Parts: sequence; structure tokens; C-alpha cells
Amino acid sequence: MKLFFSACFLLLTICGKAQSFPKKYVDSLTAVALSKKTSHPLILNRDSVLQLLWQAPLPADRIAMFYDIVAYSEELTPEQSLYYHQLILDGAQKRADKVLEASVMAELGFITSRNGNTPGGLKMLYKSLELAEATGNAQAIGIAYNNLGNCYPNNLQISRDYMTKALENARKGNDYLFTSFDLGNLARMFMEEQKRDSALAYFLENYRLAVEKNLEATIPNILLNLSVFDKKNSLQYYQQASLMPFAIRNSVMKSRIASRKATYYLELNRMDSAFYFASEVYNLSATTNLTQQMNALALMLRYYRAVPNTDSTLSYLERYYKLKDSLYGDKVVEQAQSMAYNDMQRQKELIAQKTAYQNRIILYSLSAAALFLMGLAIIFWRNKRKEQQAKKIVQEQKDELEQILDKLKTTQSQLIQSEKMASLGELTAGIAHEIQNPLNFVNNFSEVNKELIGEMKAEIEKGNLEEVKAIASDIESNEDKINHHGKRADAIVKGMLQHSRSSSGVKEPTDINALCDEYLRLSYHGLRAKDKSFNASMNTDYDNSIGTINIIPQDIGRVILNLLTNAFYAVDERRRDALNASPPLNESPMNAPHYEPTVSISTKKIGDKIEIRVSDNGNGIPQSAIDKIFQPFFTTKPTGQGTGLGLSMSYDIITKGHNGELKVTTKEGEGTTFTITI
Amino acid sequence: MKILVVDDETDVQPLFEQRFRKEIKTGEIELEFAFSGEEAITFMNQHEHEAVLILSDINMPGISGLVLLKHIKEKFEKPPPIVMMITAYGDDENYKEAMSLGADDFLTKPVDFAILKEKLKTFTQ
Repeated sequence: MKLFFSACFLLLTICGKAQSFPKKYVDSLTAVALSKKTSHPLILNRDSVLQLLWQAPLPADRIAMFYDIVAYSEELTPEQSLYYHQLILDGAQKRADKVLEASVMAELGFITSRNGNTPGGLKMLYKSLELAEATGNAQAIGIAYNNLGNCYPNNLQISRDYMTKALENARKGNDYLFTSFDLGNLARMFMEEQKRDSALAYFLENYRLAVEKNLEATIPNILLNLSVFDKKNSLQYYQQASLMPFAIRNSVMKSRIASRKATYYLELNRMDSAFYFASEVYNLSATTNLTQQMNALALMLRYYRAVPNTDSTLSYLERYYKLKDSLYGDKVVEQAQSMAYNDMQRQKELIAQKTAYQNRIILYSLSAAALFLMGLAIIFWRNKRKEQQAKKIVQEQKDELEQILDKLKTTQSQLIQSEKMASLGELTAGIAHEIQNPLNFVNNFSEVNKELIGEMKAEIEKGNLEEVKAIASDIESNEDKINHHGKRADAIVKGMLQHSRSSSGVKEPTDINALCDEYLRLSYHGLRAKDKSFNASMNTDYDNSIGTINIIPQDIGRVILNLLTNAFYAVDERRRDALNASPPLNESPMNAPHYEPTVSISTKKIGDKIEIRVSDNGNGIPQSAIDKIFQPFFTTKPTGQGTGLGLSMSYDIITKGHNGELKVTTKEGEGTTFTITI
Repeated sequence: MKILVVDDETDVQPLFEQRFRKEIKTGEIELEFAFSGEEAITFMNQHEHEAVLILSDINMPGISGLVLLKHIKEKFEKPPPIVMMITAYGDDENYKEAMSLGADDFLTKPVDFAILKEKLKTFTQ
């Protein structure tokens, strides 16, 4: 088959006057038409294609298959063609395939219109357009407009209007075949208006598209169109067009080419040839295209005018008018015009509807936006309210917590105060003792001085100056003692007041050794005052190189007092244990298993730190308690005897107040050592 | 009469020496001082029977006055020296305990030397 085409093509090119203007076009078009890509089987198995059609997922594929089935209708009778149209239309309707339904209906509308039932055909076409527009599928819309544009051959304005829309949609839908059809149709319309330049531009665009996209089915048409621009050689274009595979397969194309040939021969006044091709057109278009057939009859009538044959003339004339009337009768034309008008109205309505729809959409969008904004506002408002409520709750909780905290702080300060008072209580007796001693000296030395002054007076009377001098120096020395012990008493009272006062929180240079010694005495005598049987050895080892250090004296004093009190308590406990265990009778304390309660305090300068150690040889702290001793309210003393705050306060004072360390080492049965490092 | 004064306060020495200035001059009284219980025991061991009267403070670090009192009354028998306790704590408990341990008398600080001298007279007579 291909060989045959190639042979024809060769023959044609040899004939060759067509080469002048459009040779390159013709060559490339022929190459496309003969290329493997576009070669169609001459006999199509329509039923198997139909099966494939329903499986194709893309509407474009289904449309292409539909045209494959119905367009290559060489061996299809008009009835068969209609049958397949109807079959596919039913299938599409059954499957709710609106796109395919619209396309098939457009083709059916065109066929119906072209075969005499113009109003019925147009109805179908408008229905098809409506369907296509409902789907929004540009390809289907383009097909509907293309067929509509072809149904108003006598109304150029309407035709061009529809065809322009058809082109728009075909391009939009990437439907190259119909783009090509539309371009050709529009070009043809320009030709009718004698706008050859515009027409040529469209034809050339159509040509480029056909070559680029291998649009075999449009090639015979393009050849026919191009022939207009090369009138001298137009017959060769017709010849080549008729040799194209599509033209061989497609009877519509065949009759169109034949029609051109008939016109060509008519213009050359070669009536026999013209009649031959006109009758070919007449026969080919008998059932497929009545318009074509009417045109053929017109040609044939012109032949009979030239070659008078009354019977034939009358017979053809009768058929011509009958056809013409059915196709273009006043009524039909009127109907068609009114339908076109209706369509225009419908289009206007559609546009109005569309506008209304768009307005509605805008309205809805605006309403939705307004609602959304309102929703947002409500959400924000609610969030804000929730936030405020949450804030309120948080504030309330905060207030409550602050109240609790205040209470706790008050309680804590009360507890600290009571801890102070407790230790003060322990101190009071010690203080009393400590004051009694200096007072003893103050009182007695002042009394002695009084006596000495009396004696001195007597010696002055005697004139014993040596004795007077001696007495005077004694008095002087005694005055020093009085002064010294008076200051001592003063210091004790001040220390006591300092202890009970809240901490100044101010660090000041302090003689740590003196502080330790003072509290050692105070704590010892405090315990002695409470418990007369209490006694303990006290070892002191002060590092005299320390001098003064910067501490808060009340706080550190409190710590030392606390540690010493604990130490004395520990040794006293062990002493009692030892007393209970030892035989009480006939054993002198000196001979009893000797336990010497000893509390030691030492200071030592280590680098830029000072270490204060308070040790006892008591029972030690049990391992179970060692972790808890710095916790508030932990005490091993019987209820009521300790607040359990001493060590926790001490810990805070050393670690927080002085950035120091308070460590404990203990061994059960051997004693405990607290080490302060500041 | 030799009197041993035991107190951890060192200023008791000038005080007693001045208070008994006249008695010391006349040789009526001889004063010895110990500044802790331990020192007192050492002195007692070294100068047995020399001190006939001991004036001791109770509250002292180390061996307290009461321990010293008990020790003296147990250790130094025939004749046990007279022991007078002097304390800053003039409460009943201290008094009773001192007496039960064999103290011959009990004085509270500040010491009234007029009373002390009176008591010394009764002991030496």
C-alpha cells in the first residue's frame, strides 16, 4: 500500500509545475501523510476500538477513538455511520460520559443539519454545546462550536463567530485536529471575503500545525486550501489531495476534492470533466451531505445548460430545487436564524447567568470571608476571653500562693525566731554565769579600792608617802580590772542582744577566734545552768594568724553556738549512757571506766579560706540520720527539746550567706566533727 | 592558815590578795591559787595537808568544782580539808549537790568578802 502512495507521489513530483510556490509545503505535507506515525489501517476493527474506547481513562483519548470509528467512513454506509454515532452516544449517556456525549451529539447535529433537518440538527448542536459547557471541557466545547460554525454556511458573521470560539476552545483543549479544522474554516471564510492575506496566514499556520503534529486527516483539506494561492497548478493540488490516504478512506473528503475538480473543469469550460466530477460528488454525498449534493446538482445543471438535454435538465432541476428548498427554504432559513438568535440570547443569558453566578460566587465568597472573619473574631474573642479567664484563674492562684507564701514566710520567721529563742534560752543561764563573774570583780575591786582609799588617807595622815604610793598603784591596777570586767560584762550583754536580734546581714571584720571562744563559754555554761551534773572538757586550738575575717558575726555566731550546743548535747548523752552502764556503788568516778566528755573547737587558715572545726567524742550520728541532719525540722532530740531548725539554718547561713561549706564526718561510738569552710 | 583558791578566772588572784591584804601581811592567811580542777589536784598531791581550806569555783572547764570536791573528800581523809564552794549559780540544786558531796559551805558570786572572812574565822577557831 505504501509503495503505491510513494509511486503516486513520485509521479506527481515528476509532473512538477507545482514546485514553484508551495513545493516545500506540499512535500512536507505529503511526507507527513505517508509517514509511519500517521498511517492508519484502511480497514478498522471498529468493535474492538469501541471496546478500547470505554476503557480509555482520558476524555481526549475517548474522543480520538470516536473519530477513528466514525471518520474513516470509506466502507461505512451513512446508516452504519449513524449506527456507530448512536451506539457511542448511548454508551456515553449510559456511562454519564458528558464530554463524549457532547462531542458525539455535535457530530450528529452536524450530520442531521447537513442532511436537511437543519432545525433538528441545530437543536442537537445547541444541546451539545450546553452539555460541553456544563463539563467545562474545552475540547468538547470546541467541537460543538466547530460544528455550529459549519451549519451556517450562508451567514458568515455567525459562522465566523462560532468558528472563532471553536478555535479558542480547541487551542485551550490542546485539540490539534480541531485547531487545524478551525484554522482551515476561518481561512476559508477570509477567502470568501477576499481577504487573501489573512486567509493565507491562517492556511500557513494550519499547515505548520499539521506538519508539527502529524495531522494526517487535515492534509487533503490543506492542500485544497493552498491550491487557491497557486491557481495555475490547482489541479495538481487536487490530484495530490485525492491521493492522500485520508482522502482515499473518507468519502466526505473524496466528494469535497471531486467538487473542487468539477469547479476547476467548469471554469476551464471542460464540461464533460466537470459533469463527471459533479456526478461523483452527487453520488458520494447522496446520504452524507445534502449541501454538497445540491452544489453538485448545481454544477450538473450548468452542464445541462451547456449541453441541452431537457429531460435530464428538468429532472436535475427538480431535485436541485427540492434539495435547496429543504436546505435553504425561507422557513428553514428563518428557523435557523431564529435558532441562532435564540442561541445568542442563550449565550447572553449564559453570560448573564455566568455574571450572576460570578456575582453570587463573589457574594458567597464575600459572605464566606465575612463569616470566616466573624468566626475568626469569635475565636479570637473566645480565646481572649479564655485567656482572660485563664489569666484570672492564674492570678487568683498566684494571689493564693502568694498568701500561702506570706504565711509560710511568717511561719518560717516565727520558727527561726523560736529557734533563736530556744538557743537564747540555752544561753541565758550561761550569760547569767558569764555576767556574774565580771560583776564579782567589779563589785569586789571597787570595794577594795574604797578600802584602799581609806587606808591611803590614813597613810597620808601619817605622812608615809611610800605606803601611799604603793596603795595608789594598787588602786590604779584595780581600776583597770574594774574597767576590764565592766567591758566584759558589756560585751556579753551586747552579744546576747545581738544573738536575739535579727541578722544585720552586713559582713564586718570579725575576730573569729574571739567569736568562737565567746560562744564556747556561752554554750557550755548554758548547758551547765540547765543541767548541773553536766560537765565536759573543752579543747581549743585557735590559729592566731587569722586575724579578722569578713563575716556576718551574728549569723556565724549562731552557727558556732548551734554546733557547740549539739556537741555538748552529744557528749552529755554519751556520759549518761556510760553512767547508767557502770556500777554505781563503791566506784569512784576516777576509777570508773573512764569517759572524758570532750568538745573541741579549732580554727585554721588554709590558703584564703578559714576552717572552723567543732568536734565531740559523743556517740556519733547514726548513718540513717546523716542524710537528714541538714533538713529543716529534723531532730533526734526528744519532742519539745529541739526545733530541728538549728542545722538547717546553719547550713543556709554557711552555704548561702557566706558561700562556704558545712560538712560533717561522724563515726558511731567515736564522735562527730563539723567543719565549716568559709 | 593556807587557803587554796580554785577558779578558772585568773583575776581572782589579785582580788583575793588585795582583799586579804591585811591578813597576808600579818601572816594570818597564806593564799595559793589553782586555775583549774586539775591544777588543784596536782597541788593537793604535791602539798598534802598543807591547805586546810579550799575555796573552789564550781563552773570550770575540765574537772568541775563538784568533781574536785568529791575527789578531795574521798581522797584526802584524815583530816579532810575544809572545802567551800563558790559559784555564780546560787540556786538550790547546786547548793544541795555541793552539800551532799561534803562541801563545808556554799557561797555565791559576787563574793561578799566580809561574809567570807566571818566564815573563815568560824572554821579556824
